[in-house]
Amino acid sequence: MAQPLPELLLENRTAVNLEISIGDTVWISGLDTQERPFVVVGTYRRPADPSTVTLRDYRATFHLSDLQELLGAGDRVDRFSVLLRPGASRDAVIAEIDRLAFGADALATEKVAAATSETFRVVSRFHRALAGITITGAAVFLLCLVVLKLEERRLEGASMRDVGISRRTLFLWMFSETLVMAGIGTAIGLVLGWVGSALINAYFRRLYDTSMAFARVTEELALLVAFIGLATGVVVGTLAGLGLVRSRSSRLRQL
Amino acid sequence: MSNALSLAWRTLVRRPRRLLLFIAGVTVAAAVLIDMVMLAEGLQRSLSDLLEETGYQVRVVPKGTLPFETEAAILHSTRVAAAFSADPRIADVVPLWGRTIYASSPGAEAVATFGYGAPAGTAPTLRLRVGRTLERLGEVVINRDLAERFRLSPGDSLLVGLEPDPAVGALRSRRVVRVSGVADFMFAAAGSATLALTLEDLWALAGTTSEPAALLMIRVAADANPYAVARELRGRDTSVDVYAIPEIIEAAGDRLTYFQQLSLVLGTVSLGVAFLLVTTLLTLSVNERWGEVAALRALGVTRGRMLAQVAWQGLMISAAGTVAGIAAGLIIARYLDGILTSFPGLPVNLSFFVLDRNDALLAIGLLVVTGLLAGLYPAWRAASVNIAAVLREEIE
Repeated sequence: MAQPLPELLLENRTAVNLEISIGDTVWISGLDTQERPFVVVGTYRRPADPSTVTLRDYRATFHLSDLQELLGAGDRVDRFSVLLRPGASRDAVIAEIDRLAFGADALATEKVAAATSETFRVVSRFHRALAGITITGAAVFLLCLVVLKLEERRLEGASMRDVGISRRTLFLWMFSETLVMAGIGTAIGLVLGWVGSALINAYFRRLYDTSMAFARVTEELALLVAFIGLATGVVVGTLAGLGLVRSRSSRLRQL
Repeated sequence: MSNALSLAWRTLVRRPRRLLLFIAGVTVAAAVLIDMVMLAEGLQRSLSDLLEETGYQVRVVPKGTLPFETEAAILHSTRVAAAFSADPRIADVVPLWGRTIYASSPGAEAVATFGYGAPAGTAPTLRLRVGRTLERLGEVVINRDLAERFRLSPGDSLLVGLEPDPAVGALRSRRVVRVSGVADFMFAAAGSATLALTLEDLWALAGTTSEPAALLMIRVAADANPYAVARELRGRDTSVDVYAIPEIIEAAGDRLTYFQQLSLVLGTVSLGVAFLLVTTLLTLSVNERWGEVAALRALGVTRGRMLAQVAWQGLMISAAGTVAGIAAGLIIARYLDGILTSFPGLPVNLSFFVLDRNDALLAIGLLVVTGLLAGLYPAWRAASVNIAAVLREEIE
């Protein structure tokens, strides 16, 4: 009786591009090994892993022994994942493996995660730097608008001072107007950010055939943006308010 | 024209602090635009320059892959290279292969390195610093990181082998090689230990007899067209992909979509901000001088001159902001490039922000046109003022 063929799973993209279906037989070889037949028993979607999302390579998953045989790799593996028994000391196990296994490093999960997430830390630093530039630009833009407002109000402000309106009222007038402007701008910015993130996700999910989220407006992020927007409004509003109340009315008219 | 220019200048400097603030706004917008223009194609240009520097204009890789992207290989590469070399339009063919190699020196722990294999006498991706390139079997060229780690210089010995074997407590398939030179590897990641052996040594070390190559680099004859050569080779062998350098950059484009999209979005936003700033300032300036504008028109200043005067103001603000923005943009680009080039695994010589003359001119042109367009509405308002009504209002 003929031996059943060894099995493999194909990643969706590989199966689609190579026009292979479940149940088909495919012939695969290693660098120095003969071609061998495998039967495709299923397909899978590549895990939503940011570090591999842009790669376009074809992927298949084998039983370990089949892959070792195909590669002529003997009993070699790239790594072991070790699950400790409850109560076992992770550090002690790591030290023991390092002592016993020549040429192998035992690493705690966080260390592996930290090493593989370095790319995203760089992206994060880049985004923070861009955010800094954007905030500077937005602050200058807001300041420009407020200066224009201030100049537009110069006569009105001088007249109000002359008829006895207090400095405090004038300050609050300018301050609150700036704050409202910053608030409306921040709200529009958040809506645009939310719409933008939806568009970005739709575009890149389609491009890379993945379920991964590329941009997300989280609650914490929205609060941070609101805080920065309003804080900018408070600073610029204070400057504008002081600009209006500190000048003498005669000077304001001359402007 | 000179009168309109002079009047525009005097109108602007009437409020110097306000003018400076608006120029600062346009400067930030211009700096972002310049940076985004540099980023949009920067990495592709930088990569293209590196590939061109090797002097080989065509790459042959296993079907569906890019060089060293996967472990896929072109088998029997010597035979394949010889077949390509027979083409009179091809001046040289160099197969390259690579895999992880462990290196060690007496008393030191073995380190994993990326080992390249190239035919003896060729060094298309090396910039030699000390010594000479690979000329015979048993030689190795190492990068500066490896040289510093093991304190090696040309003439010294180095132990190389495959991964450590826990059963015997030593590197598998180990052998001693002699350092012939120390070089910078053009495509090696920053801070990574890298070495080059002859292809024959690397194949022997890996225990393979199928003469694998990750890619073939082809130098075309001086009078041959790399695109035409690539196209024909592609048709000749369907198991490989053949790329001229611009084609390989395009094929790698998917990975760089993010930067192109980001550049497009931020560049567009920065132009929008510059437009709004200039329009707002000029509209307010015209509103403030409403009576003056009407009086000038009443004195016989033509609509065209009024229009030109306001348009000049827009142009002056955007020009000043553009000049300052280019300077600021270059400084910011350097800072941002420092962040992005710290990506792990990225070749040392790549850059994300590259200033190309044509792109710089495009950015400047966009800013100038934006300044002009931004002045259109306020200029139209100034030119179409109802002289009698405004003068009456001013008197009342």
